[in-house]
Amino acid sequence: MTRFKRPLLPPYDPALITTPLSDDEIAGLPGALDGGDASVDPVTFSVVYARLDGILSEMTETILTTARNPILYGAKDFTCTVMTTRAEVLSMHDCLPVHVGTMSPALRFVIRAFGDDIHEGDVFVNNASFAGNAHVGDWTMFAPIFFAGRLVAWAVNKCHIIDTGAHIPSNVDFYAKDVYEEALHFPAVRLCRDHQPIEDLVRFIAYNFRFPELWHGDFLAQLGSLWTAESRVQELCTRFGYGVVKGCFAEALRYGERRMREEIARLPARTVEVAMIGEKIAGFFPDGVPLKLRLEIDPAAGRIHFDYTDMPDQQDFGYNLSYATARCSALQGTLPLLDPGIPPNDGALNCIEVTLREGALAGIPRWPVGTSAATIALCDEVTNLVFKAWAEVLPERAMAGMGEYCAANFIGSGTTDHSGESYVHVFYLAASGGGAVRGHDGIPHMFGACIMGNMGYESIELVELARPLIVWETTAVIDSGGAGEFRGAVGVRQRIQPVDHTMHIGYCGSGHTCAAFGLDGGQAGMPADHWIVEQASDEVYAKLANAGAADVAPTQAWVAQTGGGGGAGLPHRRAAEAVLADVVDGFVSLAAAREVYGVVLEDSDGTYAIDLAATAALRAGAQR
Amino acid sequence: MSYRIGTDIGGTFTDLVVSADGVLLGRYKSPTTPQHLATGVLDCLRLAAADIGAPLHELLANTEVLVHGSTVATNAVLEGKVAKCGVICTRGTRYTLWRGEGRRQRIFDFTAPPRAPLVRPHLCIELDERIDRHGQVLQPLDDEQVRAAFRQLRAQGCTAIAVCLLWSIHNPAHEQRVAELINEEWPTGTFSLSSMVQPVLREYTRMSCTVLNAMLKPVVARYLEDLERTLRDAGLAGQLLIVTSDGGVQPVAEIAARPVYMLFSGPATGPTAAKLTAAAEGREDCLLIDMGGTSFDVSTVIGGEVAVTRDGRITDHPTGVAAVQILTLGAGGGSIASVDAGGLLVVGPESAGAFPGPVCYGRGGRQPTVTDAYLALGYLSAERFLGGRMRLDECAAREAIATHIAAPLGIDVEAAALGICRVVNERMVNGILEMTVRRGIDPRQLVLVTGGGATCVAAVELARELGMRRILVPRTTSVLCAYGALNADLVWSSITSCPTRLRDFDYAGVNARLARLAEAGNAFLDGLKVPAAQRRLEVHGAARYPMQITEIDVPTAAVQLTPDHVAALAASFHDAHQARYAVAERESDVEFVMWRMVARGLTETTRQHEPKGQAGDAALGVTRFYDALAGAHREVPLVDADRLRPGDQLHGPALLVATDTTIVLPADTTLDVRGDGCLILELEEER
Repeated sequence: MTRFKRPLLPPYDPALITTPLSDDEIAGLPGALDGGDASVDPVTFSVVYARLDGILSEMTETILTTARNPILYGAKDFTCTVMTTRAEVLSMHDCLPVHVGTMSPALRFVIRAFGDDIHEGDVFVNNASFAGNAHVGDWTMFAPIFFAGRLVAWAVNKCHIIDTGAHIPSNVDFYAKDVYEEALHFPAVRLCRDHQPIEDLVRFIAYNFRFPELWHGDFLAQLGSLWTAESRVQELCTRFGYGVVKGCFAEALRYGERRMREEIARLPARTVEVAMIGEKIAGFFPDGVPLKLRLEIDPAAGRIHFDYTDMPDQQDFGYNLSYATARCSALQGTLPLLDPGIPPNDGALNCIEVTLREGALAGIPRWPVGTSAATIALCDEVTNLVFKAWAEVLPERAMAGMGEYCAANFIGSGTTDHSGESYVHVFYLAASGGGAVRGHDGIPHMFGACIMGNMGYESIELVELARPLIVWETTAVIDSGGAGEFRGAVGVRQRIQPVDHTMHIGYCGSGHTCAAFGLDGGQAGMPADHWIVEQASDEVYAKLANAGAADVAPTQAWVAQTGGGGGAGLPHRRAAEAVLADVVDGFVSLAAAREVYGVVLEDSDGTYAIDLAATAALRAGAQR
Repeated sequence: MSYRIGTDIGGTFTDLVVSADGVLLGRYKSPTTPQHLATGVLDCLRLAAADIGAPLHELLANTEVLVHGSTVATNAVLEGKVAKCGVICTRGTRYTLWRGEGRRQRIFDFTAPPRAPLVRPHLCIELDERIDRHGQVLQPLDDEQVRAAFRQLRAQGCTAIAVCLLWSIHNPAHEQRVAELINEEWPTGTFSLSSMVQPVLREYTRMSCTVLNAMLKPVVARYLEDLERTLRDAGLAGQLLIVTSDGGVQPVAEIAARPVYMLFSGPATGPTAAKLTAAAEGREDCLLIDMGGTSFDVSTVIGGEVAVTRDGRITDHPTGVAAVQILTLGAGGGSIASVDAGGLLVVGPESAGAFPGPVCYGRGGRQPTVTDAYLALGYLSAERFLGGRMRLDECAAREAIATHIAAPLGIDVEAAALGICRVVNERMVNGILEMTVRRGIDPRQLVLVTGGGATCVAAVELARELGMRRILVPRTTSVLCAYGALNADLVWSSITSCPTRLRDFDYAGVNARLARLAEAGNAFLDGLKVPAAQRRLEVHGAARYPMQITEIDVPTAAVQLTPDHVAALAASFHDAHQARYAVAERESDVEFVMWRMVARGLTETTRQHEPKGQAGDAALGVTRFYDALAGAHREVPLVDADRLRPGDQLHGPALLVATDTTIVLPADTTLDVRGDGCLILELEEER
């Protein structure tokens, strides 16, 4: 008589992803409870810690050089890490911010789902947001690393893969109201045994995902990255000893916690509440999403606490945050304000608590609502609100609003009429700009707060080589950076024409109706925008909204521009030389130089010079 | 007598070696003269002439070839002392250099200064023209626009112009027309076309390379002209050859036209010297490490070939030009040690440099460095540093380590100093692993060669960590690049793009292109009168799986390819992919996207000379150093390495000093002196 073990059936208890693993839960895994040597000498720790970063770099490099999709090799929409047996992130030095804090919930679920049925050579995947992952497009793979039969750590990489078998060629779908409309989910599924892919499962995936060859190549790239880390961590154990390595891993978390607590101890004890009206979303929030949160700093307890309880309710669309990204928005919005030397590991990050409400738009989503766009749009907006909260607490370090992840970085697909060339492409040709910080202009090329510039730009030639498209321009958008003594970074405009086919575009951007805020008299950045033009006449064919879909005919071009960052300080205080440099480089117009910055430039045959007297007079006049 | 001379200008010293009849006559060092670099070379030549016992003009009149490597191009870029360059580009691409590649690393730091583009957007002018991926013209070029763009850049004061148009790699017609038009108005002008300088895919890489080439042209041309005139005036009759980034050499005229090819000329011949040092042992694979004041360089020779990267980069600006693969870490003698707020001991990349330098130099340095740790542990001799030319202050070094490291960590000064060594060693080990294990090479199979005077303090410890057993310290260790330059091959290389696949290989297309490249390569060697027996042509295919974007270089000695050659190339590719990335897809098709032809004129190897020092007792007495194996200070013999003779043998522990080198020989290590004076350090098998 066969005894059936009852599997996990949804809806899952949120505790499966939100609560840390207890000793009992991992006791069946050999070595999982070993903390290693109780005290490691500081030098050995420093040595092993340095090696860990080397291993992460190698994991990253393996994917960059062997992946088959531009979203991985070009844009680097992935993060690699090594985690403890208790599902804590050890180090993540070259990461996408939105992957910070989103690894642990997904691994907790894997470990809870498999219990002690976890063996050397296994690889698991989890792309299900109710199973702790960020969103359905983030294909997160986990390989347990054993040394002499004992579990040392987990190698992990999270890659945004181009297609996961949705009904449309995209896994970031604003209209996907629930998990059934999103794509295929793998809520902790074993993909390999004994370092061999499980063939029937690979066949199933390859049948369901578009471009199976490309997916399979990316799958190999991810495996290569995991198995490289496995060998390296094992070599580390051979060199230093299992107990020492594990002791160093435990120390890495304590080290992160010490750094974070010291930083928090220096912060003021404050509680602030902030609110803003976010993106206007037709059919759901026509007047904008009312966002609200509370930030509480307790330096004595070494704790930062965010309360998201007052966020609005979840809606039947793909714009809701997942548990992982709701928590992440607080983390990624906080780290830029703190000492950049604090390692983004779970020792440090667990000092930041986030209270989330079940059933909230930015909280713990209630089954089976959609979270398809959880890693970008709303996550960028909430992060801007977190920046706003910090601006009240730490005005001297405050950062103005960041241009968000907008329609320009969305998806085009099509098949050419004559050659039958077929593609889906996520565009990383144009990035939004960062907000200014007191003393520093905003940094361009950000792609929004969830990315903070960690992704790469695509080359025009590479895009054209891989896709039947002509990229007519990638140009800085004049006057898009929020004016200020320190200017917000400018956005970028792209213009793309399909060749010999109609390109279908689908998008769900933010920062189109809600600009990146300015600070201390600095102005807001220019919002993102996009439209379709007739390529020959440049006549506008259609203005496009922040979320939706459209077709671009072969005679037309899709023009999309990203938003600029907010400025800091009064524009009139900006050095006139800096304004002159901005004008000649095409970042600020002649008119804005005069009207916004109060700088008068003389144009003598294409060469500009500052009219000192007129500038002084104009600026003095404005002061009165 | 017919001499060959190799010379290398470094930041502090100009090095020079002279050989005759394939034997090294001597090695010389003279301070670099930054105001007029050729003067330093002449100073060195005078030292050589005096040593050899011939007047300078006679030495030069009898010199068949003088090979020169220099960091002049590197420094010009790093210091911004280059021509003001304008860019002419395709409509919609003037922000290419400003955009760069993205991929910010310090993501949570918003106070870091933004990346500065090589050329600001206002000096990049767009033309209405467009070619597509097939090389077809979508929009023709307008001559008047070209003239206007050119005049505008000249009016802005540009003295160099880079032309980089989209898809010029598949159809250079528009770039060539731009060149014709510029020539009409500015026949003496300095400009570079991307399709000529480096026809690689990716407009950013190509534009960056073309700009570097154009902005370097006037500087490098001036430098080479002056050097050549100085040497000719002094009597040089033979050929003057310049070391290129890939470790080969080319005539002055070739480099003047494509100066970006000498961007990494300085250190490029080190691995060649390492190769020869290892070859004398019958070893084809070696690892070269070189620790300087601020950096630690790692390079490899595998199967007798110096490892080369296809994209040499300077301060993160790509070139797409092949360069000797040298990994440089900010970990040198001057690297500063500190303890951060969380109790992590960090060494480098911040460096005290040459000034103020380490605390023990007594020039005002306050923070402890690696050199200070070496001194505290007795690995450097306070009295005999640099042959006694500089006295080191050990007390100050210990005090700095006590204050900044030992106190915050709660350990004693020895443990702190040892900690500094272990952390910096770990960074070096990481660098070595990156150059070996990460590329599928097992470091235990390699012999370690050292360059630079301070490298041998840590060499044995590094070898031990990596499981390497044998270390070679050549007599020329402190003038390694000059010695390498003397032995560098004449190398011409060029790339062609002819994408094809294993399953449907375009033999006609590829072989036709390879034949053209072989012809051009042979023409280069003809010009230099290289006899047939000394010629070697090799082809490198850049291979990848379909839809990958990064290629792995696989070489073949065949110049015309047959199915057997192509199958062998594919097999090498699968093997390399498995070794490097832990997976391979052996059933898969393989794409070959580019082909690089390398034409070599082989140079006869110069043997190192026997030591000229007096035979006799090399013992200098005793000193104390910290024995890491025993965990305590102990008395050890102090030995003058310059006085060791071939056949001599020493057992550790011992401290060896020479004029320009210090060697720490731990207890489990044996030293032998080879016939050519090379010191061979052998670690005992692990007990």
